[in-house]
Amino acid sequence: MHRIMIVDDEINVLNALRRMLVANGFEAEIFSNPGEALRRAQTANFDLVISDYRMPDMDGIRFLKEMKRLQPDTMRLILSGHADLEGLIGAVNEAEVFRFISKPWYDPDFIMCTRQALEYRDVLIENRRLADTVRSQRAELDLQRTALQKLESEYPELIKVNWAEDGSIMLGEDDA
Amino acid sequence: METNALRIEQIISAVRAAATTGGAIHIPEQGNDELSELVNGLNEWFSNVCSRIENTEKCMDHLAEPNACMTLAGTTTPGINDNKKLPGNCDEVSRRFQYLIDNTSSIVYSSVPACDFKITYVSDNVTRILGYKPHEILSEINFWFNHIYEDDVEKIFSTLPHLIFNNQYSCQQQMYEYRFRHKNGSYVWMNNTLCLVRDSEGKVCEIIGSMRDITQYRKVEQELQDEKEHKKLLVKKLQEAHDQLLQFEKMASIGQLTAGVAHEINNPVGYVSSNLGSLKKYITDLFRVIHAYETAEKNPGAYNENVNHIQSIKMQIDVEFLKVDIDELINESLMGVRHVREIIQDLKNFSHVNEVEWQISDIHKGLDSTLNIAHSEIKYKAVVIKEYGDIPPVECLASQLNQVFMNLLINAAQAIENRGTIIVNTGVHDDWVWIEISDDGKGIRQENLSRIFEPFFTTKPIGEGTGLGLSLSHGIIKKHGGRCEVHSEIGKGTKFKIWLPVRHNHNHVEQCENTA
Repeated sequence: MHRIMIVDDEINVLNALRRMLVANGFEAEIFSNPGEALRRAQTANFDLVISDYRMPDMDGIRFLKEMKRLQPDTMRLILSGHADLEGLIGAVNEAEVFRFISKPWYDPDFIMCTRQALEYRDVLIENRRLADTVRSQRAELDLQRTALQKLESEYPELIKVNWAEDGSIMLGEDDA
Repeated sequence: METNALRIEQIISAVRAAATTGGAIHIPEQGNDELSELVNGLNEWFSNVCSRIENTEKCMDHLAEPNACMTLAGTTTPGINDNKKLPGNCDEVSRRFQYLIDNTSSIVYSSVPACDFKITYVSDNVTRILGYKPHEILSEINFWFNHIYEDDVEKIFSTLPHLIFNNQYSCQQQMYEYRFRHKNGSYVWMNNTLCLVRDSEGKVCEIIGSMRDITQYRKVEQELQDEKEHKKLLVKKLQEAHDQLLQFEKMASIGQLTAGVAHEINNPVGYVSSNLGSLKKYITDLFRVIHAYETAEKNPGAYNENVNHIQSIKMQIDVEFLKVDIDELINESLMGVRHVREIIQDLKNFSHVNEVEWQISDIHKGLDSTLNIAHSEIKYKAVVIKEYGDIPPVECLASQLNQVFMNLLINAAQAIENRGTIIVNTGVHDDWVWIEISDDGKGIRQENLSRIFEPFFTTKPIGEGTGLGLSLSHGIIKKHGGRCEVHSEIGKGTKFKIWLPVRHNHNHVEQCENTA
């Protein structure tokens, strides 16, 4: 089950989002204070973090940048009613958010966005896992090949097989 | 000595005789002393007076002849009329008189006080001024009346007959201004000053007067009038422009707030609609339970089976959670809707466009409503501390004052660079209330402090301020007969203190508007 973190200074927004996400099969933790959310992120992993943009003390961009440093694989979304150009640029360039959702949101869109973000994350992680597997398997193969070459150099012909026409292996001197 | 006394007596009786008869005197000369000289002098003087009287009498006789007026009127310059047979000195006086009349700018006339006001005499210069020959005027009974501009007739004839036929009327002079038709068809503005000559019974026997061409004067007057109208129009336009500016500034400050207010409204709308979505799902779940109960009702035999079914559904949908959450959901949603309603009410209170009535209003209510509107703008920058005193209701233009508060609050928030405090104080002193808005922001530079009320002066980046906020605020405070004090210190903050009279002096506004 995917774990989602929601940060907004309006508690009613948090409650509504949690209701919706839980009903759609996600696990959600809510925070009305970005600082508190960051402290929690030091001990718990999240797959997705959704943050408001305008909050007292710390704005959404700063919070998400900090979050990215703590958990680089966590997907980041901004949910805001206030979208000035400066904010959008910061969101894309600095916090590298996946989507910028505007308030008031529409539940199905919101869920779709959440799903897409999580799928994207899953694909990324799966990709990385596969790449890791390929790399480790290639390393193993390399090891085997080296060992083989070593044997070959020590015992030439060791791995060379003389096949007879009838499919039998011919041993002994190379006089054929 | 006795002879002297006798002589004096003789002189006195001779003078007396001359005075009563009106004839010449002759006083016998009796010597060569001072008395004789006196007698000579008196003789000379008497003969002088006699000749003058004679001349005057001749003149009077001549004027009394029926055609005398015509003769006078026919004379233009003394030189041309040398052939006129006026006797002696009288001729000279008359010519001089004629010369003067003909060369003044006024037409001299006389008329009879009958209904048609026939002209009985008109001076020659009428030809120069109105183009008509005097005989043309004198020959037509209704000449005067017929040549007055149609629209001007009424104002003359509404008073003139009354003036003439009312003997008690004390005013003997009357002035009219009207248009009179020139011979060439154009109309000339005339100033007609007429004088009523009354006989011993007080009856008007003649009207005499003068008419002057005042077309030029009227033209100048008209021009002045036009200019005045034009100026009035300009003042009106200026007033309109000022009103527009006020409105513009209000809209600009509202525009500035829209983002913030939208944010405030977006939040509740977002969660209320989301909550309704969740509620729909919850209710679908609850209906499943109800459906299970209904099934159980129809099949009461299979009790255990039914209970198991109901319980399994209840477990699936977590009824205990729903019970709690639905209650919370509805409460939160109601809160959200109420919040939206409040924001809209505050916006309405704030932006009453057409409210120009003076009203007795609670300043604190205005401040609160303005603070609510500006809340979204301020809350990320500052904590607002309200320290309201006990102030009486103030006679004011509430929505305009709100705009002043809004300007000061937004300025305060914008002056704070990271996070700070805005303090709103109010209080009363004698017949004045004061409102103080102070921040701990970056302050105003000394060189800018004297310019902050100038229109279009701003230190904010383009797009953030119009430069009109404080200028218009100052205007609004002045309109209230109040004043505004500013204290600012770089790095420490700025303090605006507004003083307003509790009761508004309406004369003051008129004065302000007149001087504006």
